[in-house]
Amino acid sequence: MSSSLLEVKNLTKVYVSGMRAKRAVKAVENVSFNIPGDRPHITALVGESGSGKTTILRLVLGFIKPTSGEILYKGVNIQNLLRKDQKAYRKEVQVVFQDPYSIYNPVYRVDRVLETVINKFNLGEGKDHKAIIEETLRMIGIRPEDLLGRYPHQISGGERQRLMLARILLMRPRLILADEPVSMIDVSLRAIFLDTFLEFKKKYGISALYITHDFNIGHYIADDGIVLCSGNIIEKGPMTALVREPLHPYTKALIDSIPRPDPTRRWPHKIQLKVEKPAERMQPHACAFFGRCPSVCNDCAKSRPPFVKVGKDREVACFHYD
Amino acid sequence: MERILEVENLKVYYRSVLGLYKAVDGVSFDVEKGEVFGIAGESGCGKSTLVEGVLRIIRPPGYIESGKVIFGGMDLLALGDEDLRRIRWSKLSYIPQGSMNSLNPIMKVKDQIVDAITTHTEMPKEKAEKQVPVLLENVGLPDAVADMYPHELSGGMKQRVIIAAATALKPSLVVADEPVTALDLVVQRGVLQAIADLREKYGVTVLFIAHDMAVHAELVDRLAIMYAGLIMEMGPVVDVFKDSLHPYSRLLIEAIPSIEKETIKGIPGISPSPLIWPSGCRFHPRCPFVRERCKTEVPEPRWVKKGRLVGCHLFGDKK
Repeated sequence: MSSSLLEVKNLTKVYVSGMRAKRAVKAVENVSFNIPGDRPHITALVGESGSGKTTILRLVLGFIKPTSGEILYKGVNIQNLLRKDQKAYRKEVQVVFQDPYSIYNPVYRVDRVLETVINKFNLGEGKDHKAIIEETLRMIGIRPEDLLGRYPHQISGGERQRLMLARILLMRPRLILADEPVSMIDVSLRAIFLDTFLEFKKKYGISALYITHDFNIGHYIADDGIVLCSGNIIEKGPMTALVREPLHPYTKALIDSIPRPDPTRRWPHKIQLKVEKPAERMQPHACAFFGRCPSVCNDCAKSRPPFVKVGKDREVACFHYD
Repeated sequence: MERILEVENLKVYYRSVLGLYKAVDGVSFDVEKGEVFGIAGESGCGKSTLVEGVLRIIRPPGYIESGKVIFGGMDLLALGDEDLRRIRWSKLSYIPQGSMNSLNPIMKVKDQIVDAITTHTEMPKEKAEKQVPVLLENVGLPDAVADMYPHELSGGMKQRVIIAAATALKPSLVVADEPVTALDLVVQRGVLQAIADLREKYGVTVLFIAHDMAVHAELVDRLAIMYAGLIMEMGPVVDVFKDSLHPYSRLLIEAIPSIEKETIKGIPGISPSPLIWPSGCRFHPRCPFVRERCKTEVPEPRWVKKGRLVGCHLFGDKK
């Protein structure tokens, strides 16, 4: 049982807004998944805007508390971990955020983000800080003299994100939580970031939960994929199978709409979009994709479809697979 | 083919205390009637500044240093303000980046479109109102949207309302700056489809700016690839993708992650600063095929094959 590194069980988060007339929005609903602990493993959490990706990340980080359900890290509920030994959890579970521009304090040199973690977590056991930093930078293919001593505005977004990877590597975590870390980096620099990320898995055995809206990136980086639709998981399985033969009508629609970088094979047909009002979007008792699904049937309106096993390692929440 | 837009050696700079930022540094291209002409490039390459120069909407500290922009026989850069105002929207319309967030939150969709029509033509309000359903239908939106407010619409629907408004007066050229960025996949596909339909139905010419190469592959007829304020390569989109001439284009295409590819390769090095562009060829510090002359001598863009332009010394010897 304790073979999971991270186990998310029936996680639900409801945001309530409004002073008197309370309005509840279910951002995440009954979400369960595992990141195995016996081998380094990258899981991609893929979903469109508003699907609840970032809420899940914030829950796993402990920034917000779940409405119900639990998150276990190495078998222990993270709420307990954060109370008792927050520092250990923060050291073993690292995060890299989407925006490389808002992370840095513009008045300090970039070295500071690296020095701070060394001081805070007593890394390197008294070794010279500068030597540790330079060694770490070289490990991810950055020449220290290119970046050290510079101010954030003097380096590009891609370089800032790679510095974040250096900071993470200093800590040698077990798990990285990544929230769209390359969406603000130029295409030509993305591959370099992603390859470093993959190297962390191979060389240092670091696992990751990688959040993205982009199947292309999910496919490149992840072993397994989880597809979110309006706060619900609707499909999970090995990433390659997921993009090659998607099962859920929602996943199919997404994969089918990825523009291909090949002008000789354009979209062969037009899609008919159902226009739904935002109010229709969340039907509390219907399938999460009910409002937009092209193959909707009567059952879909009545209840949330349960997960059905397909093959040995895939699951889909859709009545059409009964 | 009739040329609808001719841009000649356009330079658009920004003044700053550190010196001149030469964001667009001598760009020339033509757009033919009825085509979708794409401009691609990474952040900081000058795409948006180029558009602001072409439409003469650049604001200080930015300014147009030199060049010509010929649209329908007139030089836009030499035109008086009133004349320019008259052709904007009616003949030449613009969909700025992130414009779906510029709809007025307290006006119905219908009224905003009517507003655009009556401001730029003599058309009476009643007549303009009658056009709204057709305009919405053209971009794949149902009639009901006319009576809705922006907050009732999703991002993709708002973007289509903007496209409907921008094309309401059947302009001969629509300039769209990153119109599908930040939209979800299925919605993005719908908006691209709406643009393609408008071209098919009304022969609208589109100047389409996007950083996403895959989006260009789906939509445009001809493509120009910008780097460091210049066009590196230009040609029919299939040729640019399948038989890239410039090393930068080739590397950029190899760097696109795709579910159909197992590997991608990045371009090592850093993107240069518009304050001090690299000498010679501006791509030379990152180019794997760099030669001695690339470091000092600027490669003049030249036509190497039918309809294909490239600025690279690898293609420089024969003229």
